Amino acid sequence: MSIAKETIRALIQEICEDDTICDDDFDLFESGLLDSYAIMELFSRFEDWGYDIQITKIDRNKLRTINGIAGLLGVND
Amino acid sequence: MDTIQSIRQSAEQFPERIAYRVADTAISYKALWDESREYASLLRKQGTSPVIVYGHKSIYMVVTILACLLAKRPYVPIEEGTPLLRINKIVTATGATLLITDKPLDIKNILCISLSDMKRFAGDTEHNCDSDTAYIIFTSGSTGEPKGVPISRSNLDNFTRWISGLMPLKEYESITVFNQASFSFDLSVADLYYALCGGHTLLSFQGNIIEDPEGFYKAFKEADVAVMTPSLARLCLIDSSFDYKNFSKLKCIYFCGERLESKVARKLFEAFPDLIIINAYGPTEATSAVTAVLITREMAENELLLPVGEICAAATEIEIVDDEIVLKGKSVFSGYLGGPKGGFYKDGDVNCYRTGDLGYIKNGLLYCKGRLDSQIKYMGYRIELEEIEHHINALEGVSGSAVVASYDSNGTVKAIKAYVEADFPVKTRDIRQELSERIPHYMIPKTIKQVDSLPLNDNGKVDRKALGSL
Repeated sequence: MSIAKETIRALIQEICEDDTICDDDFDLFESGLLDSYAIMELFSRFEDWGYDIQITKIDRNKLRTINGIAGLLGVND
Repeated sequence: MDTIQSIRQSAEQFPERIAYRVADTAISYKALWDESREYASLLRKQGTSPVIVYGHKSIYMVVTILACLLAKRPYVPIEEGTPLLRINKIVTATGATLLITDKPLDIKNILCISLSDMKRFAGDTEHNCDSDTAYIIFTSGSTGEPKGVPISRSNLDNFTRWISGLMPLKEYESITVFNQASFSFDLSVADLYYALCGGHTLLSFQGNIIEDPEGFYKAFKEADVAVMTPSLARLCLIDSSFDYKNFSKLKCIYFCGERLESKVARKLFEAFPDLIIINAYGPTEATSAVTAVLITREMAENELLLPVGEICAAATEIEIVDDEIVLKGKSVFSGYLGGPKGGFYKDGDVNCYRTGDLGYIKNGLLYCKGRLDSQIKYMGYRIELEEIEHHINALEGVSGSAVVASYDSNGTVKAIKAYVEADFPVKTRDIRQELSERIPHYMIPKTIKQVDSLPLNDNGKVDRKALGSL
């Protein structure tokens, strides 16, 4: 399944329950928006999209921003 | 045998066995017992008040807790990082005159020292320490103040006898018990005392799964039995390496602290076909847990709502009164610190507690289906939403607020949201920062939205249902 960055942005807005997140470099950890529950939702959605990403195998900092998550999924645009 | 006698027996039978291990440190039963006794004597020479034990998971915390129990001075565990304002409230509420910590901390009106400094502050003679209270744990309070729950030594003894006799925990010998919760959270009462009274090794991980998943899994792989919240299990399950091949020692998980979803139990059985799942239930006011039940694969596959305990094997008497779960008996506390009654009452000489949990009994099993009030469980933490509102309303320029929980399709809380009326432009970051100085991190709303005015219902109260559409 091919994912666009816009889809990732929409997902982050949905799971963080904040539709004002538009900056792709916005720090999701520092803001407190990407908490434990949101991370569970995020990985569950990765699985739905067909990605096999192990939390123990990735650099946690890649989850910090929309751009980082896009990079993790190999999405460039 | 009481709790202290059981731990002493562990120390006599298995002196060289590791009692507690965390990071790269460990302490044997003999060393734990000897050090705790030595510090208990100094504690008795220092005073009689409750003792605040401040810190994170460490050998230091466990030694101090046991020393307080031996000294018969109530311990009040406070997790490292708790806001100073909250610590001050706890100091005032308990009347504690001593705070023991290995962290740099300076609080007015209380002696803050490390265990090793105890000798300097102890007198020559022992005071008559004879408190019936074993520990005081503070929970979220709807009035805006943290609520102190004193648990007596006999409450604790009843609990440790119950959990030590619980099948299959009773059958295990020389195992490693994984501790998830901080010592200020009463879930830890289960793993701490089950392990120490049974001569097992208690194992803690100091970080958390989100910040250091690799370290967390590495530690967890050594566990035979884990005591944890369903939230943590859900987090573990996002990594497909969490299975019986990689966690070959894991035999049993004891869940408590929040609702275990059937879906989580099903996924656990898929990852660990032979896993024993214990689902336990109980409020802080009744010493961590009062009932438990083995969750079978059949239950996980067929029941939408899993049972939380077997009535016949409960630590207390359990009744359902007007749909509410009521607990009566030896594990039930004797009322909150400072007097607010809450759900506590006496039936003759018997302590009783109206839990506020809605429940029913079917085929000898207890089910819990929700709350009568606005208390929620979020990632295993018990939170009164009114307490958060109280702290937001106290901020300068705020004229009103409403705090609500949002739920996923399984009925699990996925976020805490605040709606704020204020005479200035509200910045989420600023309010979160101000709240972090007053309440624990897990109580801080994820999103904070400014509204012109909070919607009201016909009774003039905040219409919480209407908030979702704002």
